[in-house]
Amino acid sequence: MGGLMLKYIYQRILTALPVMLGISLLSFILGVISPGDPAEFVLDRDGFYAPTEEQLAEVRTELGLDRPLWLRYASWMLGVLQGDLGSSYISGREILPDILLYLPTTIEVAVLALLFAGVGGICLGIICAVYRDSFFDQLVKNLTNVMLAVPSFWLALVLILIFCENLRLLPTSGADTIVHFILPAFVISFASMGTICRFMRGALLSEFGKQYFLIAKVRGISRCKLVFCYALPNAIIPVIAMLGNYFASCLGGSIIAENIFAIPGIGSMAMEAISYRDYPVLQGYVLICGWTLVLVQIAVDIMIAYLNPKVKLGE
Amino acid sequence: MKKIFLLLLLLASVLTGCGQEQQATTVAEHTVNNSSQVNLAAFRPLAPGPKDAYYCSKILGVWESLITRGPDGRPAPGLATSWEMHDGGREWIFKLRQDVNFHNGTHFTADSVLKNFDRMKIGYKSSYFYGMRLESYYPSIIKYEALDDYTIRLVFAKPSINQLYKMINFGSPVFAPECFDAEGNFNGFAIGTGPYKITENVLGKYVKLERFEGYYGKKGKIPCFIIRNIPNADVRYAALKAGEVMGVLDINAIPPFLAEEIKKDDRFAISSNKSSMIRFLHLNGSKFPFNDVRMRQAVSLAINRDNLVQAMYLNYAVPTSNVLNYTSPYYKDIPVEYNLAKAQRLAAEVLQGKRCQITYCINGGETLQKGEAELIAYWLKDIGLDVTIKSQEYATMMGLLRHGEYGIARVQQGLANGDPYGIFYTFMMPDGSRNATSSSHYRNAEVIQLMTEVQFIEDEDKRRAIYDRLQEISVQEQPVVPLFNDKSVVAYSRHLKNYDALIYGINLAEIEWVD
Repeated sequence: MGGLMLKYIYQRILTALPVMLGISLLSFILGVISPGDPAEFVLDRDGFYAPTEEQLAEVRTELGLDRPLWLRYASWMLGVLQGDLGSSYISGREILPDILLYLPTTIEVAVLALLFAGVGGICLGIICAVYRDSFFDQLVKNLTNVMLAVPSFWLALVLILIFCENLRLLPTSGADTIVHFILPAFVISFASMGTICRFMRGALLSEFGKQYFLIAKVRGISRCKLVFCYALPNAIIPVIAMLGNYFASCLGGSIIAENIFAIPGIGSMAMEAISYRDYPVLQGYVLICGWTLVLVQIAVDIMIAYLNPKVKLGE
Repeated sequence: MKKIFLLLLLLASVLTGCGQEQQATTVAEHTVNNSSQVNLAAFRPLAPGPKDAYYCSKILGVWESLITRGPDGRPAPGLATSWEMHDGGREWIFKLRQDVNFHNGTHFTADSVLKNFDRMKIGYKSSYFYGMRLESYYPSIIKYEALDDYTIRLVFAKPSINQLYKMINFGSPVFAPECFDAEGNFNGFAIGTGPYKITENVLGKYVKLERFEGYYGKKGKIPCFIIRNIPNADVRYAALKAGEVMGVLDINAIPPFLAEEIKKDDRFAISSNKSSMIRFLHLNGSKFPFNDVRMRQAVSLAINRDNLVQAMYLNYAVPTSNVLNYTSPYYKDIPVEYNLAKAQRLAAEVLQGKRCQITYCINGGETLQKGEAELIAYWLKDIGLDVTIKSQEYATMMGLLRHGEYGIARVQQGLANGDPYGIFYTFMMPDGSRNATSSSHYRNAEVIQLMTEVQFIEDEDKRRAIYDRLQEISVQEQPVVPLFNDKSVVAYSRHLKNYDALIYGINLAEIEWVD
């Protein structure tokens, strides 16, 4: 089994390499097709002094913008592989150290959001499945529709109004302690909680109809044991896969929550880069988020293979 | 089931681990206001750090400049106490203060200033505030030298009569030379001479300022400030209401509708002042109908600016039709004219009874621009212009402006230092930045002549007369259509006093607790 597992991991990594290369190409193209001349951004941010053509040419050479596209891509990729994503047009800071500075905060919020979405969604899903068609089930089903429809910025502002401004139970913004992450993580996880709840409910109901479950039920095994020891281990595997992908998307998708709650994560960094049209930073952000997504997906696949050996045997 | 439990445990431990690390590196009391510390909030990081040309904004009171802005908007002594102009503006001599120390204890001398010039000479330094370029602030400078320990001399190839204006604030910052590395970046915190020094800077979160006890002037009254970064205006408002911060500062500190809301709460107050930001419309002068001066005049006359600032900005703006911002000491207050009948007559002469389709570009990133554009489009219908509003990403919009693929575009301009010459040049000279890059195609022989003359005129009254004339021409011919000057608005808790809005920011050193 150990050899099979290693082979599976090896194959999975190998298939991810072209995807990662594609992501790098897309990230690079993003910077190239973005509107505006980077040399002008550098020289004429305040709009006071029209830079001369010579000055613009000098900056273009300095930034390597006068070289052929393929050479620029090759040189950028070479830098990326050596841990150099370039520098910000605006702040002049190197991009990778900045991403590494902000990433832990984003990961922290994403992990908490994952816990909220996972625990909340799975628990609600189990209750709805067990008490199928009950009032609670109907209520949660309708509630999940609302959860999927509510815009996150609106939810964030309403929660701030209630819990921070009026009740003063939680801080409005910042990232000093884990308490600061409760509201942002809840906002990020809100829609996913609804999706996971529905998914969990569906998966469990599907297990409830299977022969092994009916036989176990006929044998008089308690309902609690039936759900938690028989149905849940089988039903939860696709939910875990979903949570894994959700975690990766949290890293790139927390821009709004980070911006509203003033959390200095990579989402805020991207938002700032957008507002200042700092394309090298955006390139780096897209690349890192894309690659992280791929790596997390590999990790999730390996985890599923570990939980369900049939996967790596190709069954 | 055991495997799943193990995975959940791993997840929880990651979270707890991250949380502990965070707690170790930050201080929870940053959210608490007490007698020795005041928390404030701004929408952007006010101390972007070592690679920024200035490290931090002037409003933090960390660094000072040779020349500052006086209450009347004119150049006033900063670290330079007096100055003399010679040779028709080709030579400037500055006398420096003799009682100044930097935050690191070193003494401020002429040599410190020269080393700051050496740094500027290395090359362009980008900044979140204003880019630093030697030739922008000191055009045609050929020499800078110390005449003695407290006197410096600048020599220019061409007359630079308005040099003092160029040097206001961001034009002549002085830092301790020890805080620069070989490339001219900061090798740690910025070390200045101001009333506050930076003791902690967590990028994206906050910057901590402590009172500089060795300050030569009036020392700060609050020992410590934490300036937090809260990008969202609604959250800044909520943080203020929740008591997490005692005030908001910097540009866009509080939008008009929230300023009106907070005024209803007795615990808080609003302070406003003039702002150096002007909002205006670019008209595409490269094609019909705005290549005709009468059509530009018609647009200006058809816009009811009073209604505009009242409806959209709740009077936190001042209508204007003058390209020069009202913070400039040379600003001439010319009444804003709204005359629909005259506008219709002028437009009819140009359009010859036909209607014209116009594309009006706005920056999609600014929420109020859409409503403002709809209001203006409604007014322009009366003069025969059928406007289609296009909301675009700013860089895309600027690209369209450059290529002349637009009719009207809404933009803004800050007046960096009160220097009217720069503003007139950028809008009204054929090779001016705004004029050239926005297809405005504005050209006026009298303007060119006046702008050439004013460079050599030392007499203040004569210069003022020229600037007055340039403003009259700008109002008459509308090279761009100015809409309004912004107001600088701040909100604060009534537990504080002297929290007064300045043209840019507030004076931290003046703020104190109410007894």
